Amino acid sequence: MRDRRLTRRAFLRTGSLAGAALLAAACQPSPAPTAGPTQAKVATSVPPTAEPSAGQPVAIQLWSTAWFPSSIAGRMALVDKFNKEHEGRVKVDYIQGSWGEATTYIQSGVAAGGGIACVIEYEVEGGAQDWYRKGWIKDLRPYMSEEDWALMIEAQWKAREYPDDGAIIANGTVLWEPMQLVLYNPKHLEAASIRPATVTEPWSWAELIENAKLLTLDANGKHLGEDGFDSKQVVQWGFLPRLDSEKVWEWGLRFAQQRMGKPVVRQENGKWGWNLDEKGKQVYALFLSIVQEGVTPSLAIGLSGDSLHEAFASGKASMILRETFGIAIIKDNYPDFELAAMPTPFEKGDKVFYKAGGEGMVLVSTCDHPQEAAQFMFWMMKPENLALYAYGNGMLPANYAALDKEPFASDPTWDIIKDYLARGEVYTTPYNPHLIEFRDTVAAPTLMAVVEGKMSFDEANRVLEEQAATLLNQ
Amino acid sequence: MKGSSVTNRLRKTVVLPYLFILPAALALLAFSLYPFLSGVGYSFTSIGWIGDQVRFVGLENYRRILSGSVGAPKFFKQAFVQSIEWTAAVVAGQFVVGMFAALVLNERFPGRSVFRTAVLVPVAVPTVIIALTWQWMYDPFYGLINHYLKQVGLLSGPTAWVGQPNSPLWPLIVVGIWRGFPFMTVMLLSGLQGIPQELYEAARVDGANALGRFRHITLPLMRTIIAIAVVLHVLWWWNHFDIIRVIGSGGGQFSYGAMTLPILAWYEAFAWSHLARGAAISVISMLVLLAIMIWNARREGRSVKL
Repeated sequence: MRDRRLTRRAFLRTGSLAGAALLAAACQPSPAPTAGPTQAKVATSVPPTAEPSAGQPVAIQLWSTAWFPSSIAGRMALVDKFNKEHEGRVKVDYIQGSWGEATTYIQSGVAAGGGIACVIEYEVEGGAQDWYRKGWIKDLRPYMSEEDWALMIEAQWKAREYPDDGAIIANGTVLWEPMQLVLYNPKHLEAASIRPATVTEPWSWAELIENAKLLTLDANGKHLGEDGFDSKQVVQWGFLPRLDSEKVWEWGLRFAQQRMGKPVVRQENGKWGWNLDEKGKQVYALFLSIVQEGVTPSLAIGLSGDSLHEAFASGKASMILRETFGIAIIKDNYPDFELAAMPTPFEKGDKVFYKAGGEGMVLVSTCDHPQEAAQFMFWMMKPENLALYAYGNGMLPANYAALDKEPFASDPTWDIIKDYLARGEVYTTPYNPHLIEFRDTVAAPTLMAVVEGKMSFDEANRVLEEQAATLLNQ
Repeated sequence: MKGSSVTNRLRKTVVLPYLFILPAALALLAFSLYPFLSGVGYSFTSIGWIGDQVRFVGLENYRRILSGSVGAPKFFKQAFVQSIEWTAAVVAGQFVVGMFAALVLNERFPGRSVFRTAVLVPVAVPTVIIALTWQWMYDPFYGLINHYLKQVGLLSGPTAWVGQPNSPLWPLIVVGIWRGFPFMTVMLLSGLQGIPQELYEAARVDGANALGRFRHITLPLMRTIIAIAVVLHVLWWWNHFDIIRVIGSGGGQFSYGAMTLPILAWYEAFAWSHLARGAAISVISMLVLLAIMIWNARREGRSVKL
């Protein structure tokens, strides 16, 4: 009887033949799609080509870092508006991205030679500048007209310039300053007979501390400083900012620089350093002292943004320190909660200095349709368009003229920001590649030690001056 | 012909096996050995970021990390000590919980197979999802842990357990134990099932109680499997990254209170753009594991000789 077992040779031969057949099949051109109801669906999933066929609009994609409902809705409304206005010519597709994945997305996309969105939203300083240094994004200057240059003030373009070759690395969407506010619960202030601050009648830091004491109540209704006040049974805190390592740096610098009118970390005589003047020192020290002064609970050390909103909306905190986008997030999450905003403390009559920079859209170097992508990027900076985007994001538009358009125009919350701008003066900060390392390893731990009462501010300032000289000049 | 059949046989017996392992060997070279060697190589250079001009600096990065006082070197000693604390506490906790679970699951009781499956749940869920869930449970305002601790009177107000620069390691250790104990259980259970029941019956006849049987039968006979399980877990958890990164560094902050060597290496290389120094920290971290592996290999060698 013939042995019918599969020999090794036969197995290998059969396997090779099968493999070759599969390979040949895979290399065959795919058959033309048959006409039928599924055809339209197949066609829409095909990525855009470099040369679109006649009559088809050029398709570009926007990779968005919008992260809460109204910010996403604002972007989508803007994309819809653009697509209607440019029907048949350019079509923008909205892709939901995220802040945390942006660098990986562009890095891997560019390394793969394309196939990713043409336009990506990101932060300018540190982020987009680093991307340009690595060749992942294009200089926007070749695509810009005189009209485009006029969409933003010079200082804001300067903040989007790469220092070595003057390239413009991003357009302007929203700004990070000035948008700090004290959000308050109007019922709590009314009950304590406290008149909120205004831009014309601001509170100093001392006044904020005194008012916070009146608003800090225990379970028996006694306020901080009153006889018999039980600090272990607090049911309502007067002032609740976030005091983590990010905020003691970011907000502390902001308040100090607002008084100084120039960056704290800057070059002097060709050397980088930590340079606080007397006004800056005074403000920074006051801001970091609030826990030790007893006006802010130690809980503020380590509070997340979501927890802060929860405490505020549930009536556990009367005043919180937040950026303007906090308003949009709180309104999204707690639609029935009534809140109001007032300016952060500053000395009456002082100028409000604020730093240029913030966020923008970048043009990816592998983009097949840079002209059309740039067209979208500058179209969205027009006041009536940017208003949709920035208001949804709860942030200050990079083109200030957008503040006069709806929905900004009819929202009184933004009056404070408009007042800030009217009496403000913008400055730019230089780029140092070691700034993040300095923040993480030196500034944040040292400043947190001040908040926790383990170090005096003067001592901390000395440490920061010494270590900045080494770390920032590597 | 005789000559060609010899050649064919040689090709089959000598060349063919190598051809079969070639793809795996190439993949290993490309994705494991090359990155490892290039990482070690980088640690002797000046590279900060991709595209920088690279020059050989010898042991300068190591000197700086071990004796420097600014930047990452300032935190190296702390990270080293915390790595030891993290690994020791997590593996010890996993062993205790894992042994207890293995002993229970080794007994006969109704629904045993359901419990044996259920105990594997922490392994089946992706680490990032576990980390985000625990982060939520630790939240000072709407986290379950604060809620129940307040209800039983152990907390008077909200407490932020994790995610702050100076947050302690122990809340993360709890997560690490929970995440890793099932695998320990499975390994120990396999060891328990290899012990002949006759030994327990004989001990029972001799009057040994449960503790005595555990001490004099279970533990000695499981010595090898315990050693393997503990060494493997030490290697894995020394290098653990995701739980500490996601829960410990909530909001992307640099949390020095809950930082281990892999986290410091990541920050130094990718957040602060010092690839070479980050590589040097990784090499030092690896040397610790190498020492453990050499010790384990020698111990195994001795036990085989005996």
